Amino acid sequence: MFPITSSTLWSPEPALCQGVRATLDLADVTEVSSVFLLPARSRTRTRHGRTYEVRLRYPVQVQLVPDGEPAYLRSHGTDFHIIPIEWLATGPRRVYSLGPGLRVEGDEVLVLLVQSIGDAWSDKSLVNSLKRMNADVVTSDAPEYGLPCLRISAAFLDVRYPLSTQRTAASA
Amino acid sequence: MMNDDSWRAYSERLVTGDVLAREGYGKGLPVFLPWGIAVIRRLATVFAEEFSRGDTLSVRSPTTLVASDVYDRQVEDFGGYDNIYRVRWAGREYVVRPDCAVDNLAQAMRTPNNGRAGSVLSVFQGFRRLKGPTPPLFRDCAIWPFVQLNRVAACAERQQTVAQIVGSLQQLFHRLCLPVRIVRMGPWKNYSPDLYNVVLVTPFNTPTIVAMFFVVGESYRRMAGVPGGFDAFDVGLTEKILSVLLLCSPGEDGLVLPSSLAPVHAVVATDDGRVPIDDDGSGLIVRVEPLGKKDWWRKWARRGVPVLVEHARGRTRMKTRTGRWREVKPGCAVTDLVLEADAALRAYLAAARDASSLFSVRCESCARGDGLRGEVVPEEDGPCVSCGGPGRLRFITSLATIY
Repeated sequence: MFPITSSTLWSPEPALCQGVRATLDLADVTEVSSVFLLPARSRTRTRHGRTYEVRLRYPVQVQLVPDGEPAYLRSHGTDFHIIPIEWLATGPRRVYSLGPGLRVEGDEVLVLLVQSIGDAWSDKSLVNSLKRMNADVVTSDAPEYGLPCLRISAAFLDVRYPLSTQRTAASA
Repeated sequence: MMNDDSWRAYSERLVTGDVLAREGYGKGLPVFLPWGIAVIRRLATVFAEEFSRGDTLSVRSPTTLVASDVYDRQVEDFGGYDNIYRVRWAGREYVVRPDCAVDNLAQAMRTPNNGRAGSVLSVFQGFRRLKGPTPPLFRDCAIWPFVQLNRVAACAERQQTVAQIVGSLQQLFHRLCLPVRIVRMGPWKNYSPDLYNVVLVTPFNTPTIVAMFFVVGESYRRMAGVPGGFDAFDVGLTEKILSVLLLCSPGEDGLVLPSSLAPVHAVVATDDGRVPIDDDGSGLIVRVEPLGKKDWWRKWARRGVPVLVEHARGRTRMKTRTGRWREVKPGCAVTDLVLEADAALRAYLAAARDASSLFSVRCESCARGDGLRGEVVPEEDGPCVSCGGPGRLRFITSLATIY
């Protein structure tokens, strides 16, 4: 009955997730929860006297039914943006999310999205580590909020949803 | 009743407690930070641990998109869920998953457990298209985690299966330090001939549902391919557990966590490098730091760490759940301190439940009236508080619905 401890922590996630997280922790990237659907809304915010359009997004754009409003679905590719401008002041600037995402082929796989704004950061060793996990990795350095921005998207082709791999051990 | 300002104040506590980012991805789309993610993972783990005692669970991670025609067929008999997201992508229409009972039950039929149908657990992000001003974790569009367990068992074993599920829920909520009662409410739409609500009374004397389980109705069961002679069960909870813990946290700042959800169980601040408590090989996570500012403990208290110990000038003391400090004997086992913190949280909430008139022993005739009624399970019999006849512990409220 006693509380969970680090050594006994069981997870319902695919086993690969632990390895991915360990790799990102080593690179000092902060995890944020993955949100599958984003309404396609843009807003403007001023920072240091300049006005920026804030448009959080994922590569796949869809229409909501029946009203036709646009929305984004979490997906593989570099045209994503998951750092609200407010985080530049007080929140994390180098983040990742890990969870289900779409590929253009139409299937749903484990997708990692990494975004880092504002500092010079080399992605080579991280990209190599991810590729060794059989990930399809794409990167971009298109700036955001007028600052340098690195984006990495990795689709783990071995983790396809629905996924039924684990069984918890029965205990007496 | 709480107004919008007080809801917002509660939501702010999730930000100061490092559970949520101050700015999320939009209304009803909160973003969890590492501390909050770690708490959520533990919630799913505790659930899985309690429901896997004496049973083997298959774990299934579902797709988030479901083809609309498949979903519509699954729910046509009970009318489906309110406020789902439908999207059109690449010429097809999809639903963003609001639930996965049918898929889990279908898998339970395909994965026999010791020659019988088994249990399937899913932990996923569910979506409901909700509008309105309620702040994060009280009414979200992106529901995470959605923890859903589905079980198939022979009809002849229904009583035993219900008792097992009730037992697992009791153990689960004991570990979450939430003194709930499980209430048999009767039929719900034609989805279920028997709905059970897990009800908590908040310190505001309001009842709230923290988990539910259903005996699944015939047509839905058939849709999942569960043949006659078998019952199907649907048990679930969500991140609402966190919002309830927030509402139930004594004090005005941050969150109070039970040890089962806390990513760190104890923090010790020491001015001479000595760790004055015994980490008795329990595997509990104890963080030791040099004693710095006078209010070193505040950051950890906001995050809900159960045990905070300060060792200064040879004196050791612990901050209790009520905010007071008390002396701790040198060498005291950290296990005992953690259990004490859990017991204090349970006692605080049990006092609210016991002071409430929402649960009382009544006979069937004295329990009649408008509003919601249900029998507490396992049954507790006694004399009816109204007429003195044979009665049973019941949940009785004049409210037409509770959430």
